[in-house]
Amino acid sequence: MVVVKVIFHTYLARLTHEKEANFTLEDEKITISDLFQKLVARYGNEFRKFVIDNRTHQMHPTFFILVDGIEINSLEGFDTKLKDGNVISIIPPVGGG
Amino acid sequence: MLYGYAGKILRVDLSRSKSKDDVLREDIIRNYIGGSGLAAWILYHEVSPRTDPLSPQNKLIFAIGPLVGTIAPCSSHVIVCSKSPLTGIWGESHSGGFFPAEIKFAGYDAIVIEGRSEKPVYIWIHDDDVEIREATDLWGKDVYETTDIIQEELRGIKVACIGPAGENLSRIAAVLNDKYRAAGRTGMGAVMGSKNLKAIAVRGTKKTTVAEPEAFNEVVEEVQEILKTYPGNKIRRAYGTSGGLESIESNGGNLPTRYFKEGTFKNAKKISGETMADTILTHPYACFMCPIACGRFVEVKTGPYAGVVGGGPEYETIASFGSLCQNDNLESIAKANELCNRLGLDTISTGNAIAFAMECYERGLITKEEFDLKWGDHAGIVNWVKKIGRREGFGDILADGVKRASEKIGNGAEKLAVHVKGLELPMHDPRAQKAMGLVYATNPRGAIHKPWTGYIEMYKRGVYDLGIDPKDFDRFSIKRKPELTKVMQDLFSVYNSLILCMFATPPGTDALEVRHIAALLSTATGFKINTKEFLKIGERIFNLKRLFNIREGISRKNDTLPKRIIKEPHSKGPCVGQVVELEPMLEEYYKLRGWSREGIPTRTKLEELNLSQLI
Repeated sequence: MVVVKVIFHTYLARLTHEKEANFTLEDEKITISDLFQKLVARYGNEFRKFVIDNRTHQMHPTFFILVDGIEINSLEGFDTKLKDGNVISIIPPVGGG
Repeated sequence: MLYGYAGKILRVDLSRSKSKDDVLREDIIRNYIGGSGLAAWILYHEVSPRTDPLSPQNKLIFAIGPLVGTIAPCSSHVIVCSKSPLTGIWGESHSGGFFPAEIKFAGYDAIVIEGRSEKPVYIWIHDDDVEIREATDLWGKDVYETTDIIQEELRGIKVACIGPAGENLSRIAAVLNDKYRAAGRTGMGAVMGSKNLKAIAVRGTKKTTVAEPEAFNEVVEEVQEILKTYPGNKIRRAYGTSGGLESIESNGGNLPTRYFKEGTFKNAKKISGETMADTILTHPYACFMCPIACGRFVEVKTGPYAGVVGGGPEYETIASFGSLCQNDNLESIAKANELCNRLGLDTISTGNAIAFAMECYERGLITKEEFDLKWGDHAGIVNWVKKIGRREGFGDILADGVKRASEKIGNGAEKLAVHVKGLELPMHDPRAQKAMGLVYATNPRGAIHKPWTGYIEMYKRGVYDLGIDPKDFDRFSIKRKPELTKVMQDLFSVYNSLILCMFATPPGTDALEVRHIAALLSTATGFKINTKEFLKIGERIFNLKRLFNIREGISRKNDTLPKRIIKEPHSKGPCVGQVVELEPMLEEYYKLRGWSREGIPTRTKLEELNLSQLI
């Protein structure tokens, strides 16, 4: 069992009605992808519509996902394995000037 | 018949107080589309080299494109072009709102203003009825007052005008339309003021006919659906353009702070779009035909800035009067924004001018009597906006931008001034995203953030059908950045000619691809333009503007960056140690462009682009 903390930034906090939440991942299912399935299951359709890229059925690539402050593209992407106590920050894509 | 276009250019000669219609030439629009491309063609042919930008010989062009006034999403955009009084070279600024589409409804693809009126006037356009009306009573009025007075006469008429800053020929003066939308950059407001032209008011009732209505509607529907469901656009609606000001820009070292000394601001959260949504935001607002609504309508109800009501600050403005001046008071930024709108000042250049003066004061280059503002003094910032707009005291010097101000101050101030070719930097730090340095150094206007390569380098977005994948572009590396810069410049040259908002095109919304935009253009006009031709047209427009600048004496020596960007890294944050390695990028960029080592397009390149007849 792996317990991780997820921090929801900006619009995601609005959608999930919480700023952070703990998630328990079972053995063998400990990647970002697995966590992502849990998020969708907990927060429902509106959350799913916001975060899923219809082309890849994964989280939209413009979301920033940080594991203990490191962006997952510098790790193993969605296959990054999580450890007990990891803090995962999810930052939705922003507007830009 | 030209589909998508109105087919006419309105020419107004203010010296003779006369106007006439010109037929829009098909051979020109096939090569330059409209908007920025059309304006480049006109200015290149009609404004001779070394013309004083504030003389009657300069021309001021309001140009729209074939998608403006159609149901294409985010298509109500206008380009205001002229030879810039700030930089002395190609000048151009963009604005959204409702005014741009109204120009098409009135039956025009462009309005070309020539000469100079003896007395203040405004131009009244009601379909085919064009009048040059006296504006002596409007002179001295601010933008909001002017707009209200003109709109009292005809409900629904759309107004673009200047404020006192444009009248005072401030070289950082903006043209504002629909009160809150600004064509701010490169001093177009001063050109309008030099012509004694206070406003252009337009009302139209005509419809735009597209070439293939069914196919066009299909593409529009597809694009609209993508724009509505794209997560980044939900953020734009919820938090405006400053939604990522803390989470991405400041945390990523890309938020210009303390006059570009740093890229992180410890109080970024206090001036972010999220904080605005929780405090002074009353509702988002949209331009004509826009499903995104990034615009902010704000109201400050209490405190020293109570009474601010209307269009609120967007990202560039917030950073310019906020982090750049080390100011974390959001309400004061809303006030500075309102003052800039009313006075008709570019918020980016004005914020830059104040931050530059703060640093000069800190270093003892100017006296306490001249300017005595310390970092973060929000009341002082607001006060200095007024002085710049009205040219009071030292505000008179700052009103002409940082390059001229630094030359007057002397004592090494020239080396501190942050600008490219005289244009102050926007709020994206090239040390956090190296291609942006090359964009600033080579853009025809100087330091301009369109195209913003940060979409790829910072935001991980792509232009997938052109093979631009953010995975290939490390933001701190210069690898492939010349190629990225060229493609983005060519792409945006077409977007600015159609005209579409950068949020409704890839990479701004990267669920869209260039093929969608090429399909909008093709079905609207009937011109069969594929992605490759699309880029070729962009390259032609970009090179034409380069030729305009070369005629004014621009070459490699001017394609530079401020010392702060190429020599001085941030002292903290994720970009520590980073500076922009411009020279190697420039070398490769010129080769990719088919330009000589001096930055001059070769004959072969000009022949390839059908531009060789121009030299």
